[in-house]
Amino acid sequence: MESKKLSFNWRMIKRDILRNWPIWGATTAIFLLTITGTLGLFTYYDKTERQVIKEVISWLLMVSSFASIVLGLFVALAAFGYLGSKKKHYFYEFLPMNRISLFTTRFLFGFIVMMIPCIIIYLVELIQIFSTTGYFIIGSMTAWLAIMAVQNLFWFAFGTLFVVLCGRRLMAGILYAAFAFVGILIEYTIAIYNSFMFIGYGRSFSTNDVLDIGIFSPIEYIFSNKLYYGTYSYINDGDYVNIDGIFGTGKLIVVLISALVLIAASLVLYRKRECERTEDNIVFKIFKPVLSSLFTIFFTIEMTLLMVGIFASQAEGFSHVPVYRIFIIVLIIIFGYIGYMISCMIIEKSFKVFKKNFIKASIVTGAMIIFMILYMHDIFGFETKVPDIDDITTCYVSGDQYQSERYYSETQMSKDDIQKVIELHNIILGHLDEVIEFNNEKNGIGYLFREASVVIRGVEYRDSNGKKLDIGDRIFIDYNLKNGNNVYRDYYIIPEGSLYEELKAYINKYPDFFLPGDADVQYYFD
Amino acid sequence: MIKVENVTKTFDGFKALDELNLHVVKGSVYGLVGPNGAGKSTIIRHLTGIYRQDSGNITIDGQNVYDNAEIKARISYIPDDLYFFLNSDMDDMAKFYSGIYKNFNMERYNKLLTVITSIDRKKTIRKMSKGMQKQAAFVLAMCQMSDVMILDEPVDGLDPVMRRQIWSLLMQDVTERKVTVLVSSHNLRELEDVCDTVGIMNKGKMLLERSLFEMQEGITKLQVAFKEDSIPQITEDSIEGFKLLSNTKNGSVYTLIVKCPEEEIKTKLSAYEPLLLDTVPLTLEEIFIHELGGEHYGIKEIIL
Repeated sequence: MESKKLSFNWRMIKRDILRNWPIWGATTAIFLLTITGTLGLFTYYDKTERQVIKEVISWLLMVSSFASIVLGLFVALAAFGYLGSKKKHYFYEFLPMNRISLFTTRFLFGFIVMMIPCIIIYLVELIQIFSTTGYFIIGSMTAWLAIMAVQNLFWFAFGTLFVVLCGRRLMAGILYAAFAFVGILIEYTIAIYNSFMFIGYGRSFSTNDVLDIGIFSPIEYIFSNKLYYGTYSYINDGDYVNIDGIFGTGKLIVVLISALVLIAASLVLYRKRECERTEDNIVFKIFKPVLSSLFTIFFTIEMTLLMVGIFASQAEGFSHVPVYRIFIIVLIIIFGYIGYMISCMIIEKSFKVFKKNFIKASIVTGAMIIFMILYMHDIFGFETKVPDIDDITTCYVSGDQYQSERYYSETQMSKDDIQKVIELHNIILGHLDEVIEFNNEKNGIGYLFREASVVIRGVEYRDSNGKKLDIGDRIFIDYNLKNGNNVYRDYYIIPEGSLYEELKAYINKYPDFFLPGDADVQYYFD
Repeated sequence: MIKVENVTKTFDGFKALDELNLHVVKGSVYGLVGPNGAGKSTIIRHLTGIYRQDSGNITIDGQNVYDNAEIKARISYIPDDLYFFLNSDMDDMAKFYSGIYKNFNMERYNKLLTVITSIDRKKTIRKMSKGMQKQAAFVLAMCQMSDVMILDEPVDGLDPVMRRQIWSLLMQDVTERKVTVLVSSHNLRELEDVCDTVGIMNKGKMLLERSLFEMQEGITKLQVAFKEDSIPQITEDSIEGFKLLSNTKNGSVYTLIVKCPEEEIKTKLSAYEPLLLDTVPLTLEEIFIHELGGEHYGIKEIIL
């Protein structure tokens, strides 16, 4: 019967803490230098208690949070790195401890190593700050310690999961890095794809508000505006530092719950892990096709982007041009198969992977093609999405030849003004076919091979030197959202046709808003 | 004490153990032999709770071994591929083991180091030679005061003097504390001196598992010289109705290995009034060669 009794081996923990002193020792030294340096800088100036707290906590929080991310992986490797070596793994597996006890012992060791620098800093800095400034900031330092305990638990659990999942340490490190940024990577990839697929995105790589998945990236979630930018605004404003304002109790609870889920998942995987698979790159068979698929998707996306960048970097509106659609589908087929086979070679550590993985590669490639076709047909509504009025703080409209600069410094516009911009945007979207038609003429098949003239309704526009002419103007629409995101669109409008007329009429309905009085600016719609 | 019942283990389609059965009686010494790739180390890793079998049961004293801390605390294991902590000396490892094994005997540890004087307790174990590391592993294993010792080629790499010393200490434990020992080795000659029971494995299966006494009981080796006019009928594979495993002739002296009890063959051959009729002790090696020779198991591979 497998024994499920939980116990810790404190002697093993103590021994390993002492043996791994370089990890926590170096971290402690870095923290001490940071705070000592910060304190040293402002001993020249008289500071209030509030200012001291802001300076210390903001720098400490930033440095320790970054340290937590790096340490998470290294400490996980220190605690569970034996899983990557057959000799070591067999040695530990043979010890008279059940797997739960061994896991908890190693986990506790790792967590203590991550917390030692924080505890030392907590004690040292209370004394140092008091002796330097006369202020005893125990409340703020205790809040910082609590935040770091949660962050350390999360990143250590995050690292542990990948170390348990993988046989090779390098693979664990790669997956750790990739999944730390996964939400950000996906968001930016979508932004880049949108910029050449759809009308209106231009080269802005605007983060989209249709699919806000940054929350799934631990880096993004923990290091969002409040942690970094928020602390600086508190310093500048002279307000008292409220730790809840910096990190947010709600966010802290989410991070804590995520950490506990990761620990549970790691324990489940650890108990099921087979020693004979120690030196496999991925230890669990079930995850191999999953990771292969993820790698294939990432590889295909990046290689497709690269090819598009080489052949047609200035074009946009790909999803409306048949030849570009075919071009992208062909690239997906090629890179889908190549990517899947490369991932299998890495995971299986063998070159002979083609035959047994052909069907799986076909499934993944087929799924990517289907997804791309749906995406090209704008199933997610990227091309026609306008932010909701309640989500917007400010927005403004400008163009190549005019600008409305009224609202640069405002933090919140009235709903009426926001509505004006939204309606202007909707007018353009209502004539999207016209914009697409012009775009296809402008960015026709010639763009696949870089050179193209501007052909508008059968007329080619070139200057006397044979250089193509840009015809039309761009209208830029910029929304700042309450969640900190920015939505940016720009549309090429030619000075004829029903869209131009309707826009002109609408803009001239609200001249004070859209056309600020400046004699030097050429008004495109005047 | 140790029971392996119909255990099967497959690694990526390769059947390493194929319904293997193995039984070790308490207080006995069991020798596990077989060619390279037979599955000896694989079954040993199952017995020590490192691997989990796909099917079948592995029990020690009626309890499953896998993930069982209580049973594992009663087992000492010396693997073929040793591991020691980086920069650890004997005292470091002893301290570590004393924190893990409740019965670890520091007094015995100190005493053994006075007996095996070649080990420098302050030297980093990883910097020692392979033979010295084996000695270090043996000392640490002996001090765990366990009921069961599982040794995977324990004397491989040791000099003859040290081998004898190790076996001597081991047998002392078996006698005094009724320790059950399972040892795997390629060296049949050495096992012959210490084992009560021997099991031969090949291709994941147990081909033969018998006590040495039983093995020797059924086979007789004789040297016989017949008078010229009184020679019994000897064919390639039989003599006087008994199965003949081996027949070599040196001048007029036959050396025969016959599969039958000693008394029976002697009675039969005495009727021919031979000039010479002597029983010769049979080695384990010869038993295995001739016991398994008819089963086409590539017996040459088993004997080094």
